[in-house]
Amino acid sequence: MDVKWINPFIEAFMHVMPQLGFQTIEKSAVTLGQGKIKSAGVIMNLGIVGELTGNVVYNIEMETAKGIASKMMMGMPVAELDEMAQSAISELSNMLTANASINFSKMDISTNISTPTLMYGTDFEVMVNMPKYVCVEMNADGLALQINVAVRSQ
Amino acid sequence: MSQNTSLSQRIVIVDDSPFSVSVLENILADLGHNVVGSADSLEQTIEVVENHQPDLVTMDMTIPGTDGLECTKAIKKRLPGTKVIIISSLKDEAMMKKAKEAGAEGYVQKPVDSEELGRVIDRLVNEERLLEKLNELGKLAFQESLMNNMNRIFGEKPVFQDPEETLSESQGISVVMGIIGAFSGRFVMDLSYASAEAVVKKMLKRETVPKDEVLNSAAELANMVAGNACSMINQINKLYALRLAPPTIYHGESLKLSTANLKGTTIVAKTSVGAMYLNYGFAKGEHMWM
Repeated sequence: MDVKWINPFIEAFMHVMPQLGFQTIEKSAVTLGQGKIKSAGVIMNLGIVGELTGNVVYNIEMETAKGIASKMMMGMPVAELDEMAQSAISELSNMLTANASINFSKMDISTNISTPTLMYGTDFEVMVNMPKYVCVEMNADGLALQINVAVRSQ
Repeated sequence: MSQNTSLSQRIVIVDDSPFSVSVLENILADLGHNVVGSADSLEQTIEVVENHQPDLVTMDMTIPGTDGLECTKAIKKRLPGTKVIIISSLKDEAMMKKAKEAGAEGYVQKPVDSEELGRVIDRLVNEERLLEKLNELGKLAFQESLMNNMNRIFGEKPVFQDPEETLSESQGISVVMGIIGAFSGRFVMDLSYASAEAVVKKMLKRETVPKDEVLNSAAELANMVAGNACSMINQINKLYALRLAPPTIYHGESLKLSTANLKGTTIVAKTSVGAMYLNYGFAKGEHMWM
């Protein structure tokens, strides 16, 4: 797992979040992950195939998911992560990953992405199909989002 | 899914070589399409396309004073619904990327193979129908693949049922795999930990199997089921060109699968060690490209 492959995801976050109305976007930490990812409550997972193969796993708390969904829905209050809110944050993961894929193409790395899968619950873990992955903690207006990148070159 | 199933299209050819135009005209006529005009410059392209409002344009890459990308952008700006297929002697990733960014929907290499061009046109015309067909094929392919794999590993053929509702609450383990190809999608195999453990013990011929190995083996089973199913689909129609991302394994007491963005089709397989749920779905969209 090459660390240079995380930059397209960070740039995507920096680029997409302001378009949704977020103002202060920061990278708070980058760590090397190993073993299982403990879910914070809501996970969006997209497969990547091409010159890079793997998965990107977005991990957020339920309240954060609601906060982001509310922002994406023009400030409409989101009391529960209903179908509409699920659809909004699924779309967010799609936008972030599609944007990262464009960033990869600028590095002459061709990738395609799958549709997002959204899983949620109070107690679950996730295993990616790689021994090590990079975990990037991002922050948008105080809302924390963890991007786990597990890709390898073909 | 043969070429003659696509409806006759009104086509404009953009190419600066009269020879190429004539070759393409013949191929397209043989495929049952109607060539309504041709152009060899940016100005002429705009004029002909505005006059004829074609369904589709074949676009050469090298045109004096301009190029196929610029002409494609000019067409898309005026008639976003008109499909553009790039026809170029050069076909590499970088070029295809540029063509896609310019708005083209297809890319065919010169010298043009009639069958290939027919297939690409067919795809553009029949996207909706192809997706419907893929969902039908998917059911057969995933069922047969699970049946074969369970029979081989577990010596048992599961009985399939149409569930009353779509998979939304996990039984304990959900293996998720992204699908990429003419349509992007996802595949989920869901089963209880006890079911997975029973299958894995048999698969590995061992009395006890540690938890992580159960999870990894469940992922391997899902990988085989999805891999074989996608191969079957690709063999029936190579246009689908499905490929799989590596599996991600979800495990927990409280786990729900959202169906908000993609409902998909759920299949239930009853086995002696419990029910296995398969869910697959494909989305229409921008990934349709080759």
